[in-house]
Amino acid sequence: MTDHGTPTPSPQQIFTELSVALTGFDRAELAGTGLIETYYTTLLRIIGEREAGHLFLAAAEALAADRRNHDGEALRRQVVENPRYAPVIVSLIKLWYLGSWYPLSGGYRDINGSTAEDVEHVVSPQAYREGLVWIAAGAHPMGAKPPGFGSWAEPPSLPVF
Amino acid sequence: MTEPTRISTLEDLKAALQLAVGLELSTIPVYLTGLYSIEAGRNTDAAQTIRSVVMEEMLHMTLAANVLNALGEIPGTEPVEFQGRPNLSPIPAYPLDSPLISGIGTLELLPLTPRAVDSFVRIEHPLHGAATLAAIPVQPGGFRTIGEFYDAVDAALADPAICPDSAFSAVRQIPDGDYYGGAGHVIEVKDRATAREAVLKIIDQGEGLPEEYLHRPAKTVTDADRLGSGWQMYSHYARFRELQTGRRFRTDQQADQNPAGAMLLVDYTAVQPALYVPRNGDVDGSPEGAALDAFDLAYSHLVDGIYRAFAGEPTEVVDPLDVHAERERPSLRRAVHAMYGLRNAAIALMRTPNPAKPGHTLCPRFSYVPPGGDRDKLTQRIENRIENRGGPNR
Amino acid sequence: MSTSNDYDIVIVGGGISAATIAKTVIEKAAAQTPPRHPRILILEAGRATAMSADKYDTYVGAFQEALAKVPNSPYPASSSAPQPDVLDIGRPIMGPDGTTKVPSDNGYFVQMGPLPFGSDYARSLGGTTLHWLGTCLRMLPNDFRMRDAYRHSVNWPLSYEDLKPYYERAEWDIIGVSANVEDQVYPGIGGDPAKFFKSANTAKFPDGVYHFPMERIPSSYLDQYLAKKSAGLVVELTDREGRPHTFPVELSNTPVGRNSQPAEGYQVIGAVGNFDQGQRCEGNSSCIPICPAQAKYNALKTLYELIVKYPDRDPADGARKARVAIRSQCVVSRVRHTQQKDGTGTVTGLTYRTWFDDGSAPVDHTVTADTYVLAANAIENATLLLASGAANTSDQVGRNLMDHPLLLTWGLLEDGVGAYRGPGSTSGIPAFRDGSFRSERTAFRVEIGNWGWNFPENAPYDTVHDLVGGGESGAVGLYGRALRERLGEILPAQFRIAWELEQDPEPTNRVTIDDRYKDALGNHRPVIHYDLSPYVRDSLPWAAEASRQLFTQLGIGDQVRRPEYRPGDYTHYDPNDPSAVTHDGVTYWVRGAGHVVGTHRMGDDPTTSVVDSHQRSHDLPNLYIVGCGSMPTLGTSNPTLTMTALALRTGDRIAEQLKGNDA
Repeated sequence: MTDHGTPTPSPQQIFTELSVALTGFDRAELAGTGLIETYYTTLLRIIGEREAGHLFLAAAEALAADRRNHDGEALRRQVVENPRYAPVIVSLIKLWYLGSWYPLSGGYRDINGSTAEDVEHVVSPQAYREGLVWIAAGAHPMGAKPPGFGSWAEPPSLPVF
Repeated sequence: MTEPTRISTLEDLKAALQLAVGLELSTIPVYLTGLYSIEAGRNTDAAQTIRSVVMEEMLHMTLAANVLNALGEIPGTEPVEFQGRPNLSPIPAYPLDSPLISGIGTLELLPLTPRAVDSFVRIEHPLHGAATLAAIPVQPGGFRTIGEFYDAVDAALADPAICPDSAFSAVRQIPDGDYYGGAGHVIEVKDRATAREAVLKIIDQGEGLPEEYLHRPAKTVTDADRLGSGWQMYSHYARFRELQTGRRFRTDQQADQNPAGAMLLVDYTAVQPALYVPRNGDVDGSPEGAALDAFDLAYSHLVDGIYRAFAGEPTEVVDPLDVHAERERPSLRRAVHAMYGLRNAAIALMRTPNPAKPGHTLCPRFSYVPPGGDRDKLTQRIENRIENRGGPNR
Repeated sequence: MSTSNDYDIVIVGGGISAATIAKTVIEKAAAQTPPRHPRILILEAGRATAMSADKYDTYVGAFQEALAKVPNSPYPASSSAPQPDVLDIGRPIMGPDGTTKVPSDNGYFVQMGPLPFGSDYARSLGGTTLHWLGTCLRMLPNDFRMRDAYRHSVNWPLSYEDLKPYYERAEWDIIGVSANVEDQVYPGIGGDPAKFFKSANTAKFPDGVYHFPMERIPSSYLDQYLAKKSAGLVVELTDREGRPHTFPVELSNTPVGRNSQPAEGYQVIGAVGNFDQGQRCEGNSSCIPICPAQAKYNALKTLYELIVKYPDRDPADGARKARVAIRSQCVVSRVRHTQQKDGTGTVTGLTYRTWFDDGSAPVDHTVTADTYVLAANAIENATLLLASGAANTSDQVGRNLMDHPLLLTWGLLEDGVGAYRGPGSTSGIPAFRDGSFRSERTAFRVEIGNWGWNFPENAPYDTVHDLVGGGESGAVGLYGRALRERLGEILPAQFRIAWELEQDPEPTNRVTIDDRYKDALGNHRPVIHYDLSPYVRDSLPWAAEASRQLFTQLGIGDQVRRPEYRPGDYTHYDPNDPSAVTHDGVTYWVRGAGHVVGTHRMGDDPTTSVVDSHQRSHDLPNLYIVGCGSMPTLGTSNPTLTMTALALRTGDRIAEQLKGNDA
């Protein structure tokens, strides 16, 4: 779809922008995990390319509207609160925050069926290490990215990176 | 053969040591860029080799600072005058052409590539890759090699006419207990002998290696291990030659031979294609630009923290929940926390595609922004980034 | 060798006791006149994965990829040397007469109840030190004399003063402990830590002024916050006679086997095979299940030192040297001996099976030695002895199984204190570790946890689930910046306390064997009968009440439950949990602390104890049965330090008695 003559963004770009809006982390922060491509393919494998195509179209339209209106209303109404997409959105947010895939919730499977990979699993050790929850907590993944001797004695702060 | 530059006054010796601290600092981002570009869990032997050298460069920086402090001079980031040449900055900016050492060539920030490893070898080679000392052009008031520079420093330290015994005192010394994670020990400098010992330590482990060391066994131990369990460190040059050739030295080989031992596996495809783009002051408002800025700001804080530690000053930490809480912290400990944070930030940058350079990722710039107007602007931009992150939805 | 035996010493198990004994015997024997240089074999049932840094990293990767990050998650299981796992803990079904109707046997343990034994251990080279927290508290003087002091339990055959020099050596020579003496204010030591720690080794510590080999690990910001908020608080609890007992709440930095700033002359020991890593605790915040840096002590460090210094070959230069061989994947199935029922005898050999991962059949071996040491963990030692019919004239083998039953309480603080940072715990509240109340109910140690609700609520995972939504409706809760910011408010404010109760020895808490329950190699699985005595149960309401008084002082006295998030006390115990215990009509969850103790207790009387104070079998004089199993009572200290001190004492004894087979 074209928005005021701008070129159609690629599915990966839409996925990235959608992820930015869903996580509250900017594009560089997400890219810094090294996992955009991994999570893009994870999502496609689990919900299928056809359903992903619908989701990305809806997301691209909503994100474009939100850019025009400087708010997040379209994404909220058309994607996040849309029962068709909500279970996927839930799993996608958890994927970014926890590095694990959590099975699609609600009645999603009754409508769309299930895939063999739609089971709880840690995507990879890197996915665990890059879970956004640790950054949101002002901490670091347990067992990785240590902050240095005595850092735990200091007042907590949320990071600038 | 040209006479090397001599250091003949205490003022010049202090300036030389200020530049020595900066010289040791200047190699660290070069090696770290290579190290951090390695994909997680890959090239573990190469990573361990580079890391071991980086840790020793940090030790050398500390040793140079201890000598300087013992001479009553506080290590600083301000430019110095040396050999009548004004305005020489100890703080590196890349690409760096050393104002001091003409033979070393341009220091660049590169991911781990054969070219980068070639430059590591060049830095650590006694003649920086030249066939003879005479082949290196001389710059007035400068030195051809790092070895020549430290020889001049050592000669000056040895000369009571330049620095009398009374010039030395054990002040603001970083103690050995504060250094860990690498081979070697910090020498606390209290007099001429310990000052020379500290300089010798830099030469012995590292890039100030005299040329004749090339004809000694490659695995000549520079620092035996602290565990007594068989781990030994040999010179930086030998370690990087192993990386360059993909082979280990056998114990019976000399450092100038081609390593002929076991293979050291280096996979240059398991490396992020980071591309260094110098800081040019433009602000494009992109998240990628902001991430690079955030790195530079953190790096600048880190450099300041290290220099505060060398100055014997604490770092203030405000407890938001308790304004009366003790604020003063050991600066080195805090600086080490910053190093851990920078490591994660550098790795993240090198995974992030550069929107303007397809096929490349961002490269941390290790650009020091001195306190003042530019620093304040940078700080402001980072704060704005936090405000704007993740779009407007709430 | 002058004898026909294969080795001077064979040690069963490759954990901290084995490592300590081997090192101690070798060093002590070499320093004796005439010097001795023993040949030692260590048989490890599990794998020997991690004797170099990159191989240890494979454990780290396994942990990061594990779905449930339980203590044993980094360490691969095997059906040939199976290990208990906390995920397998299930509740046996009991009949109305109190007997077991259906045991819970879905894991390695066969749980006969009435309560499941809630702790695990690791069967891999390095043993459970691979996933211990590293707490290194000494036991208190009264812990060694419970019968005399409180007319409960039994006395040790050793006093605190007897064990003190060995504590010092454990802290310096084996583990490497970080602490400051002045922080160690405990009840029952007369108020002066300097006196409690005063050393007889005046050559090393002038005037006996003791110091640890490394400075304290800094107390977490949470500790500092709690210390300020609870300043002046005195918990008051009432005993059965209506007498009040008061407990001043003062935090004490905990001694730990975790690298910190060294004292003059102390060599910090980093990672196995990677000298510059792990020189300091870097704050990986995962001491359990795995310290990626190896800044925390594990027995691999000592074992590595042994195989590097004393390789199992004749020295090239002809020098006489001890030799240490470590064989992994070798499960000892029988202690062969000459003991007749109720008599004494000697051990004549060990039968072990070497297993392979490639599908080939296991191979049986027999090995002989002058001295045999069982150092395979309290439960493994017991099953092996029971299966062998050895060393059990006292009928105490397998009995008096103990743990630190652990009650969790948790809350959301009014302020973000930076949870999920630093070692699992850096401080405790020692007030409840000793006192006159111990004649009627058990003592407990209070451990302050730095990892938010990781233990009680599977956080941060379940916190994210609560906020993001899903579930039956599939609807999205918070997302985007709002989610990020809310997590930034909640997670750093989470905290929990573990109230670790001393369990008293009871003969009915026991490990037995049953031919119906065997593992893949045909060895007996531990069959466990386990319960909490009234003496232990009576402290559950005390711990819960102490927690309420503390939480009220912290301003979080309100009862709140997820998924609501506001400052408050989130402690709650679901009666359907396998760890539920009901006492006086109130339900608690009692978890295991991983402190597996008892089963071959020491004593002077061969009719009531399995080993003497040197951990030597009363029945089989060439057999030492070592480890936490030898402890008659547990006190409130995590047992590894005491186990190590005992192993040093045993090592000295074995060295003294080495035969003159070295001429």
